[in-house]
Amino acid sequence: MRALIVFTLKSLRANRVRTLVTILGVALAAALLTAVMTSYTSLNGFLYSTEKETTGGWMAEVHSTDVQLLHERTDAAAKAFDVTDVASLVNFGFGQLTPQQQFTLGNYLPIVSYSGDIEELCSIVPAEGRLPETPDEIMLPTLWNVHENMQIGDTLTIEVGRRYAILAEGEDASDAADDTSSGIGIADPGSHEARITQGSELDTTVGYLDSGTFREVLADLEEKTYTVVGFSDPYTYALSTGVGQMGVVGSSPHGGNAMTTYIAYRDMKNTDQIEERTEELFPSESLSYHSSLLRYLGIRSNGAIWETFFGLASVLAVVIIIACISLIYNAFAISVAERARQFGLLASIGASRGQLRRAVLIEGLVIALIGIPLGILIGIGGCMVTFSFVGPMIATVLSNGLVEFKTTTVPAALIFSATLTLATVLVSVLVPALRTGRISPIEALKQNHDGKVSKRGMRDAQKFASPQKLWQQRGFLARIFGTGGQLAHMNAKRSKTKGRAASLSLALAIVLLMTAGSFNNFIGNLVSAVDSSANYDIGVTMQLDSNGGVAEDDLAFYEDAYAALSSAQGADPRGWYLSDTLPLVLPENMMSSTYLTDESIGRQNAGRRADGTIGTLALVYYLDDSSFDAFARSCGVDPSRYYDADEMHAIAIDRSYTMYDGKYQQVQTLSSAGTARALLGGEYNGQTVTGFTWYVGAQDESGSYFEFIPYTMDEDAALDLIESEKGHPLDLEAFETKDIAIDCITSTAPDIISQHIEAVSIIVPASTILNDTPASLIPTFNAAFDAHGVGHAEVAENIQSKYDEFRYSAGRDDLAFHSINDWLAEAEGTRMLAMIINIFCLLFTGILTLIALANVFNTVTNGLILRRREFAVMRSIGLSNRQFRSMIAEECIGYGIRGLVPGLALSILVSFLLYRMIALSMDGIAFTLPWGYLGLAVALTAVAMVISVAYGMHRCKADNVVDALRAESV
Amino acid sequence: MDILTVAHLSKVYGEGETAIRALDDVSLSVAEGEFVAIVGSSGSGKSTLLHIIGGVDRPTSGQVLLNGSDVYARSDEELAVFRRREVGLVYQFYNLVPVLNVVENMTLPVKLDNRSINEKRLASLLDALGLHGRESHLPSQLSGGQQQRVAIGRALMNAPSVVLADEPTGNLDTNNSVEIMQLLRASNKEMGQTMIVITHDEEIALAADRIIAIEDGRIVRDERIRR
Repeated sequence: MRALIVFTLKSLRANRVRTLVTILGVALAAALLTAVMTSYTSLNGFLYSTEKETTGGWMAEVHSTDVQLLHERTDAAAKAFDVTDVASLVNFGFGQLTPQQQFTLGNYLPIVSYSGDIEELCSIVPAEGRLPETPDEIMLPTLWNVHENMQIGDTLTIEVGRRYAILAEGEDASDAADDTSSGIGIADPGSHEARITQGSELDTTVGYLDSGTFREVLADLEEKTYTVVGFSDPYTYALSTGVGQMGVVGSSPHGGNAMTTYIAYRDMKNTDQIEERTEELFPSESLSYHSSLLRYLGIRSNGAIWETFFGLASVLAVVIIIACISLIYNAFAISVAERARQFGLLASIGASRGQLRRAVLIEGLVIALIGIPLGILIGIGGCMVTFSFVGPMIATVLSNGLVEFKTTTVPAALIFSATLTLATVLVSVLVPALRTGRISPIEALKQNHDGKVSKRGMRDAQKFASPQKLWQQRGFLARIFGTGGQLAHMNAKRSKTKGRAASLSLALAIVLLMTAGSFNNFIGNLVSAVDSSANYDIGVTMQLDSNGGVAEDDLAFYEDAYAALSSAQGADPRGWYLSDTLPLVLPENMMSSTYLTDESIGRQNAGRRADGTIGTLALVYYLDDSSFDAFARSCGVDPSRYYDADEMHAIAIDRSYTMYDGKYQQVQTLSSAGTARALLGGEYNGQTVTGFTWYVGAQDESGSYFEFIPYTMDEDAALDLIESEKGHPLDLEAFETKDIAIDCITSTAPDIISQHIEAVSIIVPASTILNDTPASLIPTFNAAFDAHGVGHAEVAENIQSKYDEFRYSAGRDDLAFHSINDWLAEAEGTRMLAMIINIFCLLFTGILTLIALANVFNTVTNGLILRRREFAVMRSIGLSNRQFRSMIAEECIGYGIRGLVPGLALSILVSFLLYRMIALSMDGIAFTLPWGYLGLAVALTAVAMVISVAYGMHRCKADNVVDALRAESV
Repeated sequence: MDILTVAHLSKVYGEGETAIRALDDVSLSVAEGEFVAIVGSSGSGKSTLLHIIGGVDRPTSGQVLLNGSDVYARSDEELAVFRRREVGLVYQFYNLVPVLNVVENMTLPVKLDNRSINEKRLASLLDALGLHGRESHLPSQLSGGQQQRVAIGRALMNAPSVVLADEPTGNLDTNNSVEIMQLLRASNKEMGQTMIVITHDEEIALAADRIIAIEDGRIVRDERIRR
């Protein structure tokens, strides 16, 4: 055994270059696997920290209105051996807010008392001040500090009551038996479903009832006074409800209307176990689970959204593993083949086959022992360097910078990559070792492998023996490369191996490079498709509370608002528009047939009416006049006709990009210009029509049909559908309608109008909104600004303060809502995401390229070195250097072609597989071959080949003919 | 007339203390049509001498004149042409190209020279070497003796100025050895082919016109055999 180790180490030292290449190969493989695993564990650790930071470390949530019972069960659970932590929130009612306060703070101030470690379990942490300790101390949401100017130490006096459901006016209780309302939040939806009946009490899990069968009232009011001791920010899952953010008070021993308990366990294997255990502890309460946290803890491993991710990851993992195996395998196979004579010698002096096998195995182990730790270090180091650049970006994109992104190494992951690499080394070593055992000593010594010529080669040799045919066969390339080429051609035709290893490694190189290329391509697509944010920096949205229609002073208000906002420092006004939906009836030929028929898109806001015309709820944009004029001119039409007060003209956008069911799609809406009829309102069945909704009627002989339903709105802003006695189709003559000449269709909307809404969109000048306004119109105002000079965040603030000023001075109390969106901040996030992905793609491509090229180098070089005696013979009988070069050149082109063709075929297949994975979450991207990468792959392999051949020939020449010939005397 | 003149030939392998002087100031000349046997113990330098004469190894110093022209005044490219036209090499281990059949191996030097093959010469060589019916065989399908005959055929195909054989019988049994020596002798006698054969077998050496013995890189004996 000792002798074998000495022999192995000596031979490793003697073949320094190859040993180094092999160690490097093993290290590279281990590094790549380690990097993949470390990236995964780091990301997972980061997501876990983020999840814990924002929603707390609870695993199961228990909710009940039987506070007494839940208290008892919670106390019991806290003592259980497998429960690490318990915290509870008990609801003591809802603080009543003034309408003014409701505008900014939510419907109520829900009051909860807490017990247990809510900081750890629920991530309820004071941003300022401290947690309350007594029942008359309160921690308020930061909003109270911002909007109500509450300060720590202030006293809050508030009426606190309980919520009850009451039947809405004119509703029938029997209809409402099934009316349920589900809670909001990130936990399993529907778990807090509460059946609502007349007079039932509502807890925090039920959203505010302002439509439908029931309304709600706040009753049993009682005045409470609290001292403010802190503010919570950011508000977290446990503190948010559908009716306002909670105020937290100190623990109170008695009372409460509803209670929620949060639990964390130890040593849980899977979600089933957690669910089982929680049901055991809380048999009658309603339960939900923190599935995202559990997933990052590795307790839960499924989930539909991860399919694309895992699909991609497994395609990549397979490619990486194949690449590593081939690299290591080739390095060893050649090293063993080259030393076949040494093994023959050892066998001839009495080494058993087992001993020879062990010699190769020892060689493998020695290389693994150096290569694997080196690779793991390189992998971790690479990750640390990469994450030091990319980490802050990931943290910004995925957690708003809340949690720092750290490189996390998990021993199990490192052991996994080490084991996989070692297994690869052992397999790579075992096959040549077994082959070594089969060679007889004499064969090995003579290096006279019978297997050199294939059966086909023998038949071929038979054909070309007669003097007339002698040297007649010539391949196409041999004609270019002369005698040397002809020799190469005959070698390729007759030899058994035909440089298979070289061809294989070339094929693999092409596949690897193309995989990386396709990956970059498709991921690029994915990122650009996700990047759907606006074409401007800052957007302002608002709406006036109205019962429909736009009056002159409304328009003036919007115009003034735009002018006021435009005066904000650093704001570069881009334009504004008013938008709303508009029921349109179109002739059938105007509508794109795919828009109507493609069921997969799940579109419902358009369809064929019973009389064959098309009904659709379109979007109408009243674009400010100057922007409209510019837009019309860009479409090549004269803007003036769109201002015609008697005949309404519009430009339509025929394309939209939307996401449905997790897939991005491009949808064509209109196919041709024409005249559409808009439904404006009127009197119907004795009622005033204030708007239209739609339904899809039942299947009859002509299939399902689409129809509008007129509705009317009462003083309480409740909708009432007006039943038609005539059924369908609706008689359009009964309504006020207006014809719209859609005389220009374009595929690109003006910059400030989003094309991500799936509907027919028509654009008209804003000033025309005063001609025949549809009675139902309650438009939303949108203004767009770019930031210039100062940072976008500062401009957004300037706009906000201009808005506040304007709102105060305009004195309109019917402003329903407003929002200011800093799209640039969002776009920056997307850009960062794209950059992160690009960096990873680049690293991945780089490492795969290295592996591919190292592989080509190994096989080509060694293929030449193994044949150096053959070359020496030829040179000794007069093969000139030039002939030698042309022979090798021809052979290489031969390998190249034999590697290129299957390589390309395979890489197209892999590309397609990747495309399928991406298509799982994205529609409308076409399968394209990455031609650029293809060219690059071919060029890179060619370069690698030239370098390898040059090195191989140098080696063959360096040991001169005599030495090579003398190789026979060991 | 001397076809080959070797003057003050030295060959040193390695450098400094580990340097090995394989040939040490060797001078000799061979007349056209002569059959020379070179004998010597292993490591004496006889193979080095043969390789230098054959144009596959460059000397450290000294000259080799073949047909009056200096072999090592040539470039590598010219040396390759020299090898395929002026000398024929025969090795102990035959050194045939495994993927080429018998006739292809034999005509390879002609082919490398881009000349047309002398079919008559090929036929007569095949005849003389007893390789009829084996033209299309590959080296792996032949016995050792047959392979060596192909190697001799390859050496003779170009009618070189001199055939150099390095222990051509070293890997063969007695019967085959005798046959091969008879072949070499016959081509020497019948075609007037100049022949230099390395051997360690005195009996085989006795078939030659002249025996040169080399020890430690020097010629220690050079005698003509009178018959």
